[in-house]
Amino acid sequence: MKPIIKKQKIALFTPQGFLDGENAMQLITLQDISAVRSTSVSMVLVSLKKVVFFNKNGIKILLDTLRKLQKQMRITIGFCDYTKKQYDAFFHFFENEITFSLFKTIDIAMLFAGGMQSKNENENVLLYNPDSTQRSMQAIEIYDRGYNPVVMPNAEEFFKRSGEDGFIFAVDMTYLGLLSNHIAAKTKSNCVIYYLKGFLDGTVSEQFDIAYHRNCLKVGFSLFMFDATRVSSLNIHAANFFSRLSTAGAEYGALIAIAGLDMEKVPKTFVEELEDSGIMFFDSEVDFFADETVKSMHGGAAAMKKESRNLTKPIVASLPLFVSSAMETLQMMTNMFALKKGMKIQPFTPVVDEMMGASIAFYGDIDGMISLSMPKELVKKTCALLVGEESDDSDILADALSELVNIVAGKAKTLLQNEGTQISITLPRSYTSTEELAATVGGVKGVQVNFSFEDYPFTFYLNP
Amino acid sequence: MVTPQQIDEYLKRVPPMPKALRETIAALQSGDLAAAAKAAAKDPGMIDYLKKVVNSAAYGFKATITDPAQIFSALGAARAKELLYAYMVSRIAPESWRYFNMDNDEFVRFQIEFMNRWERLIAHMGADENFLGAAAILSAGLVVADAIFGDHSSDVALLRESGDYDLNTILQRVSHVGFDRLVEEIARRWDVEEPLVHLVKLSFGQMPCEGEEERICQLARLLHLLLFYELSRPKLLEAGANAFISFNPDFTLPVLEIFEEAINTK
Repeated sequence: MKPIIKKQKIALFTPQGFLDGENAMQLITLQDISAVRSTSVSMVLVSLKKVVFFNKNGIKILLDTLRKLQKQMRITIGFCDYTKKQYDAFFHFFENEITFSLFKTIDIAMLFAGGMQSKNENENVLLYNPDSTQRSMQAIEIYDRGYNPVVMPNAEEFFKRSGEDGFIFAVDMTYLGLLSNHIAAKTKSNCVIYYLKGFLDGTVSEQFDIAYHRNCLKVGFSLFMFDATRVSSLNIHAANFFSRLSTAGAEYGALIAIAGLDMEKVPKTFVEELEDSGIMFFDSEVDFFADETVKSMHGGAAAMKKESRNLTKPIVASLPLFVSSAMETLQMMTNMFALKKGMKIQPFTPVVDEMMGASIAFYGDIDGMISLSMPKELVKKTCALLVGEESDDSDILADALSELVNIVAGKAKTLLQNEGTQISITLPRSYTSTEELAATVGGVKGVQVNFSFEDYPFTFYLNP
Repeated sequence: MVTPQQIDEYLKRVPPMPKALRETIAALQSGDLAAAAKAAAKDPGMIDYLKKVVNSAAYGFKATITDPAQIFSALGAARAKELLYAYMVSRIAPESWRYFNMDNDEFVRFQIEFMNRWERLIAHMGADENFLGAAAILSAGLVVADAIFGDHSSDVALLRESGDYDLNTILQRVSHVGFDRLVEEIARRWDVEEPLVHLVKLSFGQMPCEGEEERICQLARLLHLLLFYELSRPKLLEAGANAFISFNPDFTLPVLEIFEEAINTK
């Protein structure tokens, strides 16, 4: 069973029916393990939402496989989407000695994996666990991810308050085993916030998810803030790490900032060195977002500052593959036929106003980014298969469009692989307007192919 | 991906019940086992299928049964009819499966195990033996799914990497029709009795059971659960058959204990 990769943070297996010692070996095969290993996920979970029966043998066999992955990838492993009865069964099977994690829902797991996107200022998380150690541990982990844990002393209070507005999550029936030591991250509009803690030394480079950071840069994020309010101090190795990160980000016009660092406890020379490499310091997250430079980058879309990059022969050679992947995917999703209208090398030029868009970058043997843009009506039709019904909700459509561009890139990746070209793909990104997309791809010249899907315009854009 | 026209064309290709089979079923309905054996003997394919099934370990007959009359008298009218429906399903099964990673021998093994346990559940519930054929008819769903998605396995694989989509969900989203409707249509083409068709349709777990007769609802829940008991077997997991439709745990919860008692899953 192939796992579904959720926001490049969680690999999720969703078996159906019965899970026992007889079939557990078949659920996660060697192929599936290598598929997980090729990702940079920080959690591998088995969802029990469609499992009606499981026994200790089945769980033990699954855990043996998951533990191998945990050892190799230093990730969090466990289960999610269970009932109260199933949750209790874990404690019964393992006599309260549980070394894996249990998350009541996949969304709660995503909260701990640091894959949630902040949409508003309310970041309160209601929390209850009968075990006081777990309660404190979960509160700390939630706090470390930039949220405000509101801990309830008992189940009655928890259930009473869980119905109230004002909490983005109500966390209960959740158990934290060994967690991955990846540095937590979350996105807030066009900014990526990383949460640091303790004394920072050379291990920060191991704990930092560089693949995720690189993906964010490639899809156009240009604001990165390190929340250092819980950092005691740092040594030269950590300072060098941030300095290198800032230099590497300069190619993309990225701004890296550190907020909340206690300057009294950090050698002055380190701070100067970091400032020389382009890192900005702020007293707090609030000051960071209030800064004029930050605001000027934060207000609009993050732009890719890669003017020096040009279309190369290998990228142009891959164009037919990318285009056919996009066409076949859209035709498969809509049962509609595409008519090619024209192709030109030019900066991204929207055919009509009011289009939605999504892009995804790729890197490896060839580097670049593909973007799709189409009117909302076509997004609705195209994404009906992913959403389940024709929806008018812009957020739902934007997510589905991101998923669509992810499918297109996944298909192209496989086709390129068959021809001996290896690429990796980043997280997709969606745009609710063509202006936002145009700002992200900047003035870079790329190949624009315009199509018509039964009178709906559709643009495919490939840029270096 | 899959268009309603392609589905219509597929349904048109499903053969009606052959004359020999119709006569055999008519004889069984009137309780005349000898006439049924006589009618069945006109179709050697049917006799071969019945011999293979009744002589399998699941049926547990001590001696090998080869004669049509012996087969029908050993099975009895209701079980024989059940096997005839399974035979019809095996007739529309592909020579080589294209979507599911299995062959016809594996499919027949699945049918036998599925029907065998369904018989145990029917007996445990003391239900009408006319419902015995439900598992056989439901097994047609896998055949239909393989025919419809055989040419689209790479598209399905791509979609399944991005979300938890079973084949039925994909089919419903692209063509607004589910396997429950397709199996229902095929069963009607074969003149399967209406209560049996209705039970099979309910057992897909897509429609609410409330408002149905209590006993029918229980049987539908049990059949849905049994289907996934079988589809959770290693061979069928390996074949990809577990993702045929979406398992509905809530639908099965009211009958979980009955199922455990009858099938002894613990």
